[in-house]
Amino acid sequence: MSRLVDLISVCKSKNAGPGMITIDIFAPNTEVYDKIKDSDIISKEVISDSYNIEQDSIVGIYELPEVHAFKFTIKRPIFAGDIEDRDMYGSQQHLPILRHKIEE
Amino acid sequence: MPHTILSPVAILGYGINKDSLKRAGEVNEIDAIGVDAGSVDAGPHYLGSGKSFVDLNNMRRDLKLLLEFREEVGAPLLVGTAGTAGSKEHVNMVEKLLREISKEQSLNFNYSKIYSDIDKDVVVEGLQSGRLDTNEGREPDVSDIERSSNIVAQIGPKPYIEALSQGADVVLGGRSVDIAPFCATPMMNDIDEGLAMHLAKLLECASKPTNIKSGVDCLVGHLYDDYFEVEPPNQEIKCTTETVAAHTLHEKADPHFIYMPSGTTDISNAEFEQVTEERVRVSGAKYSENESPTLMIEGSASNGFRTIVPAGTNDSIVIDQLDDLYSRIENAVEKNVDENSDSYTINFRTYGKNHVSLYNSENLPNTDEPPEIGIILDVVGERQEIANSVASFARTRLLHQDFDRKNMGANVALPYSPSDIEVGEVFNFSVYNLLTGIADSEIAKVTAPQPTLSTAAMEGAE
Repeated sequence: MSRLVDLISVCKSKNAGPGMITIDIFAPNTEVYDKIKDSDIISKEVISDSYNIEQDSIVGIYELPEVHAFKFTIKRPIFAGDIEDRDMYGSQQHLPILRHKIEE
Repeated sequence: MPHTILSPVAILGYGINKDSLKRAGEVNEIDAIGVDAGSVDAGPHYLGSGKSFVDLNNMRRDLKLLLEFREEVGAPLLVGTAGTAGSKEHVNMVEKLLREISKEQSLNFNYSKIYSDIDKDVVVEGLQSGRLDTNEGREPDVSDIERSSNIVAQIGPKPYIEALSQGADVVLGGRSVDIAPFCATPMMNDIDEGLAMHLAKLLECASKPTNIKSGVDCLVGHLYDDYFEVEPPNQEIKCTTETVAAHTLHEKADPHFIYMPSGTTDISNAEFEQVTEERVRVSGAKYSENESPTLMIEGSASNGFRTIVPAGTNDSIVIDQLDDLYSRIENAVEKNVDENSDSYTINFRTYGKNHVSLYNSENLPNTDEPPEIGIILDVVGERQEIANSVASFARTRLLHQDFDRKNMGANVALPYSPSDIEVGEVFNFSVYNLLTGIADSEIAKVTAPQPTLSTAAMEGAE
């Protein structure tokens, strides 16, 4: 069993405005893209489970086959710049999904 | 003849590549130079305090290059979100730099400023009439709006068009949507808005949609009737259909739409064609007018004063009992520090125990037995003195508080003397919401173009 991170080429975790995190996941080719798509990892259930959030905190999930990519956007539980914030740019929030296991 | 726009770098002050800039001028007939000078990514501090997150020396260096280049090629220069946060204070800060550079280099041209600060009354009225959308942002009340030190609206290209129409050679724009400085001249020239907005989205981060995926170099766009093309002037890098298509995901919640106050462009059916090894042709963007104009409103307000104490330990006996140690320290602060406990907050940031994640996820690595942890004792107080007093006392207990321990020297290792670091005033976003029913042209203040070098100035009679 691998983790999603072992299959992908690049990813990006970033704020989409200070209230949301947007995560982009790029597969190296169509084959891997299809495998990820078929595994249903980029879905409401898995995202809410991995991030430990309510499904209504998921703002959007997108499949972009033309660029072998997936995107999903979720609300930040702490607004960027608030006193307890620990990631101003939102650039280190990719682990929960990337460490998710995927069947080979 | 295409309409050609140059974007020299992702953020003014990040370091323009002089050679690429030079080549851009040599191989193209440039119609406009656009540059994004700011971002909200760096947090609320800059909007709130009036400061810049780009060092002014770095900003000056890039601005000087652009003003000299502008003079050579004769195209207008449009700067969006000047001073990195785009309030009136920020725009005026860049104006000062601009005037200094112009005087030093004897550059005479006309410039306009655009202030995009929005009156608090207008935002309050929007809130009270239900036109302030809270779906993706904050839920401000009237007091949040009132306590903001700066509130701005993200303006679109229309105020830039107004400034250019009045004869400005350089426009210093306040807070704007990132695409505004890049789609103003196309829209002035009746170019399809959809193509203009899509190209502007690619240009705003300069060379990011190339194989280097970083905005440190230049990017040039050429607009035609039914398509546009992008290419970096630096011959060592290139645009590919993949890098250009992938860029549309960048920093956007939704990959299919690009927004400005008066309209929206749908790029879900965009098509990409590799025309040379370095150049990509793009078509297929579809523009539609918004039913009601919509402005993103950003406000920042003071949220206290911060003092921090960085520390660390590799003692497993300490690491295993951190929660206990922290609560003993907090109790001691309450008993011994003469400040109202409502006037400060204490946070212990424990790096090595999944502090970085905003989410309480089970997929994060196991942190049961880290060999070493970093601690930041983080105090925010109503006044700097309160933060300092609380942090100072808490630090003595971080070092010497007893608990079930074996090492009696001190509980943590401090890297610095002085150990307590005054961070200063902290801000937070008091407002971050969409306001409908008001156009950017209604709130933007465009100043009449003025020359950089007047006779009085040249004679030193300032």
